[in-house]
Amino acid sequence: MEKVTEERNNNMPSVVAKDFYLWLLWQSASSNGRFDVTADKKQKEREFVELWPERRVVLKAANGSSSVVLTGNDAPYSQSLKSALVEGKYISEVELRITQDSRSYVFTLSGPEIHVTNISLPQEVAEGNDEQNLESEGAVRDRMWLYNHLTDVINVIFYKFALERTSGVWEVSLSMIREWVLEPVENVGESE
Amino acid sequence: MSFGKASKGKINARRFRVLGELPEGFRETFRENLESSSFKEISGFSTDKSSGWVIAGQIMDTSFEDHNSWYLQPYIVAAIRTDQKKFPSVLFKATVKKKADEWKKEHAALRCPHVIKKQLKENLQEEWAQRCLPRVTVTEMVWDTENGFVLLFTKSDREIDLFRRMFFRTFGLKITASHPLDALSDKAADKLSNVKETNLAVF
Repeated sequence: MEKVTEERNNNMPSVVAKDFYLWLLWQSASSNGRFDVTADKKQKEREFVELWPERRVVLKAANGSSSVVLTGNDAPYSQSLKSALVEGKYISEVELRITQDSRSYVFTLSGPEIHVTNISLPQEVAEGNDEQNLESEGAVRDRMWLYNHLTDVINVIFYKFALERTSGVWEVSLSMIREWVLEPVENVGESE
Repeated sequence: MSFGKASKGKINARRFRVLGELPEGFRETFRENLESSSFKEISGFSTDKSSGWVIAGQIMDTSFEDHNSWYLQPYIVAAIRTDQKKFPSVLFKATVKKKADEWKKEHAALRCPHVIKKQLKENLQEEWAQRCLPRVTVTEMVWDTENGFVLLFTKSDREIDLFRRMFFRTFGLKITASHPLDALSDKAADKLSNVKETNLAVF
């Protein structure tokens, strides 16, 4: 990895995060939630995760002045979401679930800095116990391992998005995203 | 013993990359530095703010003597505790004014001199500081020394600023916000930073 500077990350235009969130929802819908997260191109066995939007999506007006919060199971699939996008709003925050090998993480991506927050780690991890030092120590190690794993998966997905966003493929993707957004939602209840 | 937020609950944190190399024999150096920058209680008369390191999940414990309480190889787990005494400002100002009025009456003076008012204010601060309990903020961190990342359990910009300063002062290393962009080469990141706004209006 080449040298990373704070300036480089700070200078990233906000459109990158906006497009990333939109791309994630569209990709999830169009690929039945399946994402290839193979980090190494030479790797023979491909690695996949399932990625689905969860119960919360926040959209902002183009000038950032007002926001709409959609919640509920149907929020990411609702007509309200698509209508807001058609009106020119953009996604500023989205709750997601990533599942791999029966491990499930729920978390939120937010803001132009693409912060990963509000992370629920897979259930299998024991939580620390105030009385038992060893158990707490194990919990820290397990939780950090899982956290790092989740971050790696998100980074690979972002990397694939970045390649697509900066290539000629983006124009094709964008026209498909437009089709997806304009496609009316059927048989799904409206979100709260 | 619990290690605070590092060992349980949802993870609500910011991730930072640590810039620079760990010094040789860092475990002992860091133990000494954590000890010397550990949290010190505010004295009864003071209204100052005090910040320093404590054991994660044990805000009263400021001793880093036992490595097992903060170094879970390769993770350093610790917390910054900040105590600050704050008075209700409206009530404080009104009380100073009342005391100044009393002084004027007592000395048959038309006005209370600035120097006297200042003294009255200081006396009141001292008096109230003894009665007032501090507001305590605790910000926990896990430092993955193997991969060079710090997880800081807060979203507050103020706490992040304080952490940056404390981290540098204690460990001599700078931190920078981590971003999915870190996985990109400089060339790819440059290309991405020049992308044009997606025209959503076409919808």
